[in-house]
Amino acid sequence: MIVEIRNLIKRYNNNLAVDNVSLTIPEGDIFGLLGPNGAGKTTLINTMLGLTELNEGEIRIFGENFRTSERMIKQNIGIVPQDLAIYNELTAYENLQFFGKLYGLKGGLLKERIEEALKFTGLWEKRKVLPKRFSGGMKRRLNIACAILHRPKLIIMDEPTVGIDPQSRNQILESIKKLNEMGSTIIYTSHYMEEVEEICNNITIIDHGKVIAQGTKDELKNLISLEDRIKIQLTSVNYSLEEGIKRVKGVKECVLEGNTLTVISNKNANNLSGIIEIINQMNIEIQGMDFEKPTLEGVFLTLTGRTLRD
Amino acid sequence: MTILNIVYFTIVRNLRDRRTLMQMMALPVLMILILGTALNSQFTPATIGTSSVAFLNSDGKWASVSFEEFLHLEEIQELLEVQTVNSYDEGIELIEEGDITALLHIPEGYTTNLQQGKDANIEVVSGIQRGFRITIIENIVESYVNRGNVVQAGAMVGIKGLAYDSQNSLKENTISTEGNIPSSMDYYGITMLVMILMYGANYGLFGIAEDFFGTVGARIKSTPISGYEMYIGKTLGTVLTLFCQALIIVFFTKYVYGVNWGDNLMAIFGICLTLSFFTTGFGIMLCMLSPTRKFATNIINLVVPVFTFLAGGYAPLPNLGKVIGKARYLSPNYIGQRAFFSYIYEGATSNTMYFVLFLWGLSLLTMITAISVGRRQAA
Ligand SMILES: Nc1ncnc2c1ncn2[C@@H]1O[C@H](COP(=O)(O)OP(=O)(O)OP(=O)(O)O)[C@@H](O)[C@H]1O
Ligand SMILES: [Mg+2]
Repeated sequence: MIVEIRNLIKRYNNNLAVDNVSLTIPEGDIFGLLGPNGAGKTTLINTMLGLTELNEGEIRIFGENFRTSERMIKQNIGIVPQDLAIYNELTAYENLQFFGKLYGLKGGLLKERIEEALKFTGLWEKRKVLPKRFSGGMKRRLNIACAILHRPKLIIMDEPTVGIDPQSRNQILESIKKLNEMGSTIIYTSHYMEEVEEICNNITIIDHGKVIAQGTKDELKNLISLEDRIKIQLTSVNYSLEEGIKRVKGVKECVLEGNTLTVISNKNANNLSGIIEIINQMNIEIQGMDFEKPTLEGVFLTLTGRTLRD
Repeated sequence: MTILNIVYFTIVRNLRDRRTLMQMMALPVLMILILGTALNSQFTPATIGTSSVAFLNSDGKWASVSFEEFLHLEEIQELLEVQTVNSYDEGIELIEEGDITALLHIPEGYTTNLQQGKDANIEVVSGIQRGFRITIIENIVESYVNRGNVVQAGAMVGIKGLAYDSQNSLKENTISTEGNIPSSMDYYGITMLVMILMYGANYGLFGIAEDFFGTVGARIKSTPISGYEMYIGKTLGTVLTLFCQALIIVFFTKYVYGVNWGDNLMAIFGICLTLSFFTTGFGIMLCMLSPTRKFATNIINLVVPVFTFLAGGYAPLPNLGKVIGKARYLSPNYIGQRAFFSYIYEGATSNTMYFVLFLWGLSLLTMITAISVGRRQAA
């Protein structure tokens, strides 16, 4: 196990940001930490890095703890913070020089690693450019480059794809897979289901600081394969719609998002006509209907009654 | 090595911040020119007027009487307004009340010592606040002593007709006072340099705020380097940035404006370095004590003009009496300015050392405060 966290508790005043979280991350994994805004993902990561003091619990990284092996642990971790952590007054190359030296790289090796990291993130051509002239995606990539040039065993990425175009996002996801193939263990934090679903093996879902589900992707999906999910697009909605539908036989959960109604029912409840009847009674037209396969989004919805982006 | 890396990139980043750099360089250069030209008339020797002194003669023999006569020369009376006192304490009291600038005291045995070829001095006693006036007074007394010693020496070896020549002595006197009074350019060269170094606290503030509390800070803290390496590197980088800027201003004003920086530039640089340390520490401390970075910036932008004003940086303040006179010492600008003035114009190196040491003390205080507050916030 490359990371072991046991009964971790972190409070901000009376706010329990991390509530008794335990998790283990096997070496070589791409580990997904999934949760909505404010779930406690960043707090959890910060406690792992010693940036935030924890209140209770224990963290072991590479089998050691911070008290005895802080330097060794830090030397082998690369962090991609959620907020860009690069200097705008230094060129891409100089940023890497600066952070590389903080990790003890120097001379020819430093140059080599800088080139490697910049080429890896597709920024080599832009190495002499100041980040303020970069696009959002390029900044994100530089943010990653700064975290990998010392070839860390463990790379922690806190929502590395926030606010960028799909093309850059795919590029980043691809590079994460490559880093993993090259031997790094990755902790990947996100509130985008699709991303986590695409690249992660083991996944922990947290909400309000608590672990609500843990397991491999397939294990998590099996949690909800006992259910049917229907998405219904409507022309209009009304307040009592959700209530009405929840009363239909076999319906476990029902959420309205814009004009889309998601209904989760017990497997083979055979209640579709009942649902449609309620909608008809309210004089709402149905525009379309999808029957969905289980997704992590569905897992979250089932477990919390909310969608991830609530 | 890690520290050098931090120092280097701190300087690079500071210098690439063009807007701040322009402000730091252009502002003093312009202000010196504008204030130096506009307020020129305040500084011409004509407006010096007379200085009030008290005179106490504890000797009473012929050599001291000759000094008394000297004080009553018409030319001297244009410069000094002399009142005789009966005791040392009376003179000190007058100084403390701000009625006079200095007490001229001829100690007991003056004439005897002179006759025996021993050291014989006329004491010039002043308050701790040394101004230009005291310099003038000292120059006058010195010119008498130099001259008088010659007369005395002559008398002792029996040369006749070597009487005190007031004409001669006063010419000497005038030349030396002129050389020892800063022109308005000289004055603002110093006050504006000190002011801009104080604004330099912003560099300390931003450097630390960003790295300790900002997002880059999280990255830095997750690297294997320790907090104190970062702190030292940042501090040195900021100090050197400010120091280089001060050097450029000194050289520019010296060669373009002809500002008098004295004849020992190394000492001037020493004071610049001291001030750079102080303002860096000041900025860092403010940053750590303030709830937000913006708040700290506002404090600097509010407090520096007040300090500058209090120190007479924009315009020399008239004699404000005892309380306000003391209040000036609350302004670090005043202490910085005094360090320069005492060195360049008063030849009072020990005073300069005192001011410089005081600034080092303040620097230490700000840094210790910053570190202890910083520790608390990090926890
Ligand atoms: N420095 C802090 N002081 C007080 N409360 C905090 C602090 N940092 C986070 N919190 C609180 O802790 C909880 C968890 O926040 P955290 O940033 O860890 O969530 P997150 O899962 O990373 O969310 P996001 O997806 O928005 O990044 C939130 O309720 C937040 O308000
Ligand atoms: Mg977060």
